[in-house]
Amino acid sequence: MSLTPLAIENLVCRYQGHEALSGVTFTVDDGEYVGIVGPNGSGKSTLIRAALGLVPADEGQVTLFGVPVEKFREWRRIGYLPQSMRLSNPAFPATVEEIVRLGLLPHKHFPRRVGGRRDLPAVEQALEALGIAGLRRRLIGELSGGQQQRVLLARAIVGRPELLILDEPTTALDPETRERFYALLGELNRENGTTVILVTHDTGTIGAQASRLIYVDRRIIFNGTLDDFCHSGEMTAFFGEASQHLICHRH
Amino acid sequence: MTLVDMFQYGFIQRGLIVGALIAVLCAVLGVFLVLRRLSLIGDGLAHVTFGSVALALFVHVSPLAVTLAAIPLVMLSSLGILKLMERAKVFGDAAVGIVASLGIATGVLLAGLSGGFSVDLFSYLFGNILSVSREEVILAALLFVIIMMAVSLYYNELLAVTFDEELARTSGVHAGRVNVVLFLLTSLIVVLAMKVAGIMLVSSLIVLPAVTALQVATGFRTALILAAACALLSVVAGIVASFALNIPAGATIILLNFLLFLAAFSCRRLVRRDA
Repeated sequence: MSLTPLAIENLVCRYQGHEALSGVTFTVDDGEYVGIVGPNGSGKSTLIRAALGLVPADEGQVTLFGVPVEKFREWRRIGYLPQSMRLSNPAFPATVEEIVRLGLLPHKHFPRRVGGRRDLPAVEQALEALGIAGLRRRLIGELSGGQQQRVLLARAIVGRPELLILDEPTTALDPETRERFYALLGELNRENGTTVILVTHDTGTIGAQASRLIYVDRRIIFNGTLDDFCHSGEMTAFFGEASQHLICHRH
Repeated sequence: MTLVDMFQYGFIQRGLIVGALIAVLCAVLGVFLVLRRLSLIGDGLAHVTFGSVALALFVHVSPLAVTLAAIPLVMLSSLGILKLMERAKVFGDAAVGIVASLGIATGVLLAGLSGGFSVDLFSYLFGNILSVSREEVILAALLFVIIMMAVSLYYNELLAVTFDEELARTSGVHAGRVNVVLFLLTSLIVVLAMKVAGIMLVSSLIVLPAVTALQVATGFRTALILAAACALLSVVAGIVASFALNIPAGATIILLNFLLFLAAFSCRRLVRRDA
């Protein structure tokens, strides 16, 4: 039996004296496609980073596949794309292929060699899926923001993770690539059973894709389907009729 | 005497072997350090080396013992820099600055206590590659094998952490352990390199070949190979020029490195203009 990919219980994260997240509790079940939405500065990225153990929880507990995050070691089960990935050095000399191959590291034991003959099909497939096979020999620093984002997405999916966590993945993508990207996520979720957690501020678009929406504003405001959201009197009271209508109308 | 004749001298042979081994090591680690914006760690650790050398000379030990004594002290200092960055959340350059000033202050204090700066201490400050002993050749060869093996075994982890530390952590890379390995290896080469370039110029051996390679590299592995090639070329040409023209070897090696950087930079500009 597959364990719950992500369970968060009463999570509190404080940053410089104030609570960035306050008593957040939810689970993501196997095979779900969950959209985490909320306004800028609502703690969405902190939530994801805490879920991956990248920021410490001040209170509460996070478990990944049934294991507390601080003891979790099976990183091959997870693919992650951080928010607004900026290259600290635009002249970073790694090629697209070298970066994508790094996504296979969690599958390797010490000394971790990636890029051997066995790895080629997975790398090829990821490059093709994101439409960047033609860029494989290019240096990542030479690419546009959208192209870099696709490279990092390819890196996140190359190891065929069971849980894919994407933090604002479509911000640098043009509309055509964005559409293709959503189609790919849908395919991974439906056909491979990949559990997807996608953080975005684009409520309308994700509402059409995800099976469940979690609205975060330092605490969980809403947790359910878009239909539930659109027909919730509580949400009408929270957002106001006009804003709720706008979100549901966009959908 | 022809240039070929000079290679018959033992001190030239030893200088070339040690210079080549150390320059390649500095260049390879330099690529990782420069990309992680830790270029000045070489300079900082060299200052600590100065303190360690002053301490060793203060208690009157042999030149090899000076090197051996400096290794653990500089390694501990490199871990001190790492802890300042990780635990005290001090920026890398500030952490290097703290440890460097501590090293240089200790050195000056000990030099003062032992009656001022001796000739020995000056030879460590500015390097003297042509005075390398047989034992130092063996030590350099041994450390070359150890460091190259470590880089080879940790290559992908080093690349992942250099690219993005957080992303590396979510790939199951123990970034803390990789950082410790990188810092300890850097300490080793800084101590070794003081004989080649001197404490004052050690960081140039780390920074210059790396930035030269980064101008023209077409991939990460290529960057490492190019950096090593530049370092090797400058050491061999530097020692030959030093012998032929009777000029200081360490400074000549560094200036040749800078010329290679200028050439690579110009090449890159030309290629970009044509593209």
